[in-house]
Order: sequence, then C-alpha cells, then structure tokens
Amino acid sequence: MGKFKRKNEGESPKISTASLPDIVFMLLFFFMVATVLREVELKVTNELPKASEVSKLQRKSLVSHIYVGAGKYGKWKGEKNCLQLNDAIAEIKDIPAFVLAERAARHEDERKLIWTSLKADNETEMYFIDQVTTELRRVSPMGHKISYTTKKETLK
Amino acid sequence: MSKSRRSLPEINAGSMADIAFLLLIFFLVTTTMDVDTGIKRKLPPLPDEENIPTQVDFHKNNILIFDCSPSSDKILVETGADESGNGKPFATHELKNEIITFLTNYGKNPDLSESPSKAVLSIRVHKKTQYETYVKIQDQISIAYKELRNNEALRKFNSKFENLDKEKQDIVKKEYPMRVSESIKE
Repeated sequence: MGKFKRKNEGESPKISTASLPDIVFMLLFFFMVATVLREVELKVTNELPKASEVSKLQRKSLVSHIYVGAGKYGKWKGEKNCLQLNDAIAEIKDIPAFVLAERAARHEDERKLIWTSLKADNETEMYFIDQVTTELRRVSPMGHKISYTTKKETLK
Repeated sequence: MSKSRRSLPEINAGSMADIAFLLLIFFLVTTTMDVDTGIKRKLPPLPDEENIPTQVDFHKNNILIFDCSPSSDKILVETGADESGNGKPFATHELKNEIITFLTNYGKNPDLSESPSKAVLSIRVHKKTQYETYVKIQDQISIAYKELRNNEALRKFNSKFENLDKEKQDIVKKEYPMRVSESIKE
C-alpha cells in the first residue's frame, strides 16, 4: 500500500493568490462606476415620504434639487420649515434666482428637460410646500416639471 | 549585449492587491447607490393677465375632492355634488378604489363623474397638513391612473401601457387624462 501514500500528508497545497488583485480590481471598478458622491451637505432633516408608484429620474445632470425640512444646525436648529438650495439655507424669495441659475448652467437645448426634485421631509407643513411650488410656477411660464422625491415602497 | 540588459527586472506585484483593497474600501464606504425616485408632476404656470385660465362649465359631479385636515389621519372624500363638509372618511390606502369608481362611472351614478376625460381630482390641503399625507394622496392617484391606463392599453393595443410607443400612449392618455387641482386653505 505504500505505493499510494500521499507525498506530503497533512499539508494542504497552497492556493495561488495571483488572481486576487484581478478580483479586487473588478469589484473596485464596479463600485467606482456605481458610486454617486453626495454633492451637498444636508443642513435640513430629510426623512423622505414613501410612495409605491414612482418613476426614476433619468439623467442626473438635468436634475436640480431643492431640499425642505427642519433645520439641523446653528440658528435654524429646530425650526420646522427650512429651505436649502445648494449648500446653504435659503429663503423662499431666493428660489427664482436659483432656478434661473440652474437653467443658465445647462446647454440651451437641454433647458426644457430639467426636472426639479423636491426633497421634502415627511413633517413639512403644506403651506411651506405651497410657497415653494408657487415660486417655481412663477418662473416657469410654460409649466414646471417637478418630482416629489420619495422612497420606494412596495405594496403587499 | 549582455543578458541582464535585455531582461527587465520583475516588479513585485504582491502589494497590488493591498492597494486595490484600499481603494475598494474607500469606494465601498463613500458609495450611495440610491437613484432618485419620485412622483412626477407638471406644475401649471401662475395665472396672470395674459394667461387667464379658461372658465370651464363644470358639472359639479365631475369633481372629486380630497380634504385632508391635519388633525386626523383619515381623508374626507366628497364629490362636488355633495354638500361641503359631508365627505366620507377614508384611510389613504383605500383612496385608489374610490378614485377608480369615481372615474369609471360613466354617468351611471348621477353623483359621480360623467366620463374619465371630464373628471377632475382636487386635493384640498390645510396649512398645517403634513407633506407625507399629500404625497400619499398623489401616490394613490398615480396608482389609480396607472391601473386604468393599463387596462385601456390592454384592451386597445393588447399591450401594457409602459410598453406602448409614445403615439399610442397619448391615445390612452387622452382617454384618461390626469387632471389634479390643488388648493390650500386655513
């Protein structure tokens, strides 16, 4: 029986790790492509409402964001209805300028395709939302495309 | 030429995996993979002198009103034919069926709509109503219209609404135009 005796008993063969970098790189590229770096720092609470019948906003470059919620820092802390445009807390009257700036930043052909994504907190009161949408309507004589951004919820 | 000049010294690639891991972990931590999803609507322009909304002679029964007060989580549903304040309370997830019955009435019940193309849904919010409630109503409206349009698309073109081309979608949309009005009160 000695004929079939294993040569190095008890010692498992070494696994080649040469392909490990390839695997890791593959994962790396996946995450690099899929990743979206957060552009703005949120200064308001933003617990989005849930809805089931939602559609995706295609083309991120053509979406401008308006954040609404309760203030988190500084003198706005605890204030219920706050508006954030870009990186700072703003007032309702700043919205038209913001929308026009967003339009000016896009190519002329693409301006019609801009969507406004309204990211409002669950507990925002409707009078404030109404003020925001009224300003949006004021700057858009042809109607304003808006998306009430929500989390996706699947109904049972 | 000597042999050593021709063959390049081998670079040790052993640390490549480490470097790649480092980058991988960075991206794993910073990544957020949420795509923006939302309920899409088109806001009408504000009325002014040049742009006066055309007065349409509505039959009152073509309007379905959702009245949401901030104090209760139920939503009062009434048609324009009802006396105001006489709405029936519904939980938000029950609204879909109400909307569908209202839209597909075709004049059977004199209190409900004459046809889907004449019907108007009206959301009446109060100043202090929470945004969440409003979004839920909008969602229910979307669900109801999706179902109706899908049925119509299946009947007419034997295909789901979302799979139709734009022309055919417009035909179906014309049958079921989504008309939502909003108002805010104290």
